[in-house]
Parts: sequence; C-alpha cells; structure tokens
Amino acid sequence: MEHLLEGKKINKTFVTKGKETTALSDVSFYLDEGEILGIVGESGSGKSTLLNVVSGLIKADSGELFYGEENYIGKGPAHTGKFLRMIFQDAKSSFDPRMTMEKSLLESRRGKQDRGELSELIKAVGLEEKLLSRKVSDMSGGQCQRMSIARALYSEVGILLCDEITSAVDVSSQKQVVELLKKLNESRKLSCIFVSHDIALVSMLCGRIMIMKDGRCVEEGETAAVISDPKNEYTKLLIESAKKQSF
Amino acid sequence: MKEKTILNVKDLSAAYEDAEVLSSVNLSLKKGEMLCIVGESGSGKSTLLRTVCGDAQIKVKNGCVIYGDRDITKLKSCERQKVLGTKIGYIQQNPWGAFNPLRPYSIQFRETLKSHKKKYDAEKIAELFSILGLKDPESILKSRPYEMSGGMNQRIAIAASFILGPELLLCDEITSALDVTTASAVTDELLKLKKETEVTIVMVTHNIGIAANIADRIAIMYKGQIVECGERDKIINAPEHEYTKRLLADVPQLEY
Repeated sequence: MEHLLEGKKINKTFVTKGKETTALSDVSFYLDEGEILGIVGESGSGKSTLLNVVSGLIKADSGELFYGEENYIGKGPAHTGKFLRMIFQDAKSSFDPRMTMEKSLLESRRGKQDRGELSELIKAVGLEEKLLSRKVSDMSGGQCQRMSIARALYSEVGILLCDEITSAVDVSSQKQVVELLKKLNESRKLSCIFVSHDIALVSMLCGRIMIMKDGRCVEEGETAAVISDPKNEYTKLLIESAKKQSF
Repeated sequence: MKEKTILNVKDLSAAYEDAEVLSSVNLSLKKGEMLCIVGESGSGKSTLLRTVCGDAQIKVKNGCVIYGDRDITKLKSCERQKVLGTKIGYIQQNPWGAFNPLRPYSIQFRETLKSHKKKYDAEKIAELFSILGLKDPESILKSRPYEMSGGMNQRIAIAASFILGPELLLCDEITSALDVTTASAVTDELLKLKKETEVTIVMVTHNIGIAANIADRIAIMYKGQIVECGERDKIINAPEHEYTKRLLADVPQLEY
C-alpha cells in the first residue's frame, strides 16, 4: 500500500566550527492517511531535525521523501506548504505580534476565504470567537497553541507536524490539546506526526510510535506493543521515567 | 518529636502593580520536609516563591513571611541579601538563567562564595558534583554554561545553590525545561542530596504526577489561593477540592 508520507534513509549532518554532528542517520518512517504517528526521544535525539527535514525547512544530505508518489526531497517550505503544516513548541512566536489572530489565520489560506468556516474552526479547537480580535500578547500559551492548530486546519492541509507542541504548557492544557488532536483525527481524518519527549502523552494519542536516540530510530511499532514489551534499553528507560511522573 | 517550623507564610496577599496575584495565602513548612506546590500556569505558584525571595516587582499588600523568627518581607534589601543565598537557595526553571553564559563555572562559583564570605572548597564542589552524577568536576568547572546541555546546567545550578549550605531551597519548575529521562534523573539526584544535607525543599510544579512521587506534603494552588494542602497520600488518594481532582485526571498516564 502506498503511504501518505514516507521518508527513506534520511541523513543529515550539521557542521559547526569544523565539528561534525550527525543529527539523522538512515532514518526511515511512514505516515498513513488518518494516522497519528508519535516520535519520542530525548533532547538532541534528532526528532525536531527530522520534522524540519520533512517540512523542507532544512535540506537533508541524502535520502528520499515521498508525498504520495511524488519525491519532494530538496524542495522548500513553499512547496511543502501545499500539503503539510508545522506547529511549533513556542506557538506565541509563530504569530506576528502586530496582527490580530483573525488576520493571522486568514493569511494562512491561499485560496478563497471563508469566515463561516473560520469561526467553526475556532469552536472546533475549543476557543471563543471573540479571541479572534486579540493579538498574541493577550493570549495564554495554551490558547495560542490551539489557535495555531486552528490556523493549520484553516490552511486546508491534510498533514500536521507537531514539534513538542505541549512542552511549554501545563498539564491541563496538555490534555486539552491532546484530546483536541484526537477529536480532529476522528472527525476530519487528520494525519499527524506528533513529536514529544513525553512517552505517556504520546501513548494517549498515537497508534504507532517511533523511538529515536542519537539520530537513529531504535524501536518502532504499535504503541501498546512497544510500551508493554519494550525491546530497546533506551525505550525501557523512557517508560521507567514516565512511570515516575505518574501514579 | 516536635518538628521545628522553618517558614511561615501568614495571610499573604501580593500584587504586581494593580493585578493581585496572591490572596490570603497561609502556609507553614517544617524543617526537613519536601513540600510541592502544584497548580496551573498563572495560579501564583512562582509568585509565591518570588515573594519569599523578596522580588522587588512584587508588592506585599497584606500578611507576612516569617523565616526563623523574623518577618523577611520587611527586611532592607542588604539584610535580605544575607538571608537569601546563604540560608535560602533558589533554583529557577531556566537552566541557563542562574549563570553568566560566557564565564567559566569556576569563576562564577568563586564569586558567589566570595560575596557570601565563604571559602572556595574544590573538594566540597567535587563531592556535590559526584552526588549529582556529574563526572570529571575539574573539566566541568573550566567550561562555560553555553557549552552545556540543559540537564547538565540544571545539575550545576543545584550544586551552586547547595554550595552555600542553605536551610531552605526553593525550586521553581526546575524540571519543566528538561526531557522526561533527564528530569527524572535530576529529581532523583536532588532527593539524594536532600537526604544527605537534610535541607527543606519547596518545589513548584504544574505536574501533580511529579509531586506524587517525591513530596511529603502537597499544596494545591488555584487563582492565587491555596485551595487544598495536606499529606501526599491524602491529596492523591482522597482529594477534596474539584480543582485537585481535575489536576489528578489531567496527568498523562501510560496507555497500553
């Protein structure tokens, strides 16, 4: 079966002051339509680099990236913006501080604007319509994060790439964002790659999970199978740490 | 055994200019205990810690903070400096916030110790580092904060606050900026250090799951007030306030 999005043997090395750091080495993944894939790993494991490569924000050294049948490796965000949208950890800085929310959201769609759909989306992400007249400085972190999800949905793309979007908000907002994504996944068949360091959060949301460490994918599979029977030492450590933060 | 009360917050109300953030907070802390303050963003947890530290931006409207037998909200800034640092340590969320990013740790440690009229003791630093899981203290002391990861920096910040031998340590979301594995290692090491030094710790966190694993007592803050406070097991197993119940339900749990 053909996948919605697929990456094959992606490599990326950063060079700073003559020192080489391998961020991704032979990473392969796929995402099917209507699926939420979770990518878990510690800081520096290459999760964000992978999303940046997939979204065309940075160029991979080698490898292939497919959207359907089209190999789009080497193409930038102007091209990838047609089918995917990235949501960042720091949602506040992804909005123009001088613009109202409404203007920011309208700007994200290239085609015909539809106010009715916009207000429907705002309700779908659990926000009030009056927030549309606000600027980013008057919103909380959790509200901004939901607004950026609404913006991604309004831009009519089918794939969301979420880069640690719940790391900067408190547990209650975390849960709301996760439940929102779950709901949107069911009602709109939204496909999503959800990157986080919190395996507990990922286990609540994602059907399939990929564990990354030092730029490699060390384990991959159905979430329930990976968590109940982890094969890799690092996966075991992650699960143990997550247990220490719950009861 | 009668336990000594080390910190007593009485009927404290505080505000940033016009916005009142804390209203009638009461809290007492026994020597050697670990109290976790849990609440959502904006509930006033950090403001409470910063009021205890005497942040100049915060105006105390009512009430007092008794440390030992003195009201520390009424101290002059120079007197307060003596209490802070030596007696009360403060570790913040941002791992890099405690240091100048460009200067080697050894110089910054020396300066801190000098300003509190204490001697630089390389052995003591090495001992603290080893409890915190930091290997090769000499090369760490020679390096600069910007070269270190968040987890390493947070460990060094913990060491820096312990070097002055505080009686009370205020930790403001110290693990929120770290990933799950590093966060759990850092809390384990902090607990180890607490056991060795018998320091009293107030830990602020938004995740009641963390509190459930480390606290002796838990205080729940909501909209600037402490809505519930009690022994850990009571709060976790038999919460009374609706907000506490919601917090408990919101903790991410491994699902499989």
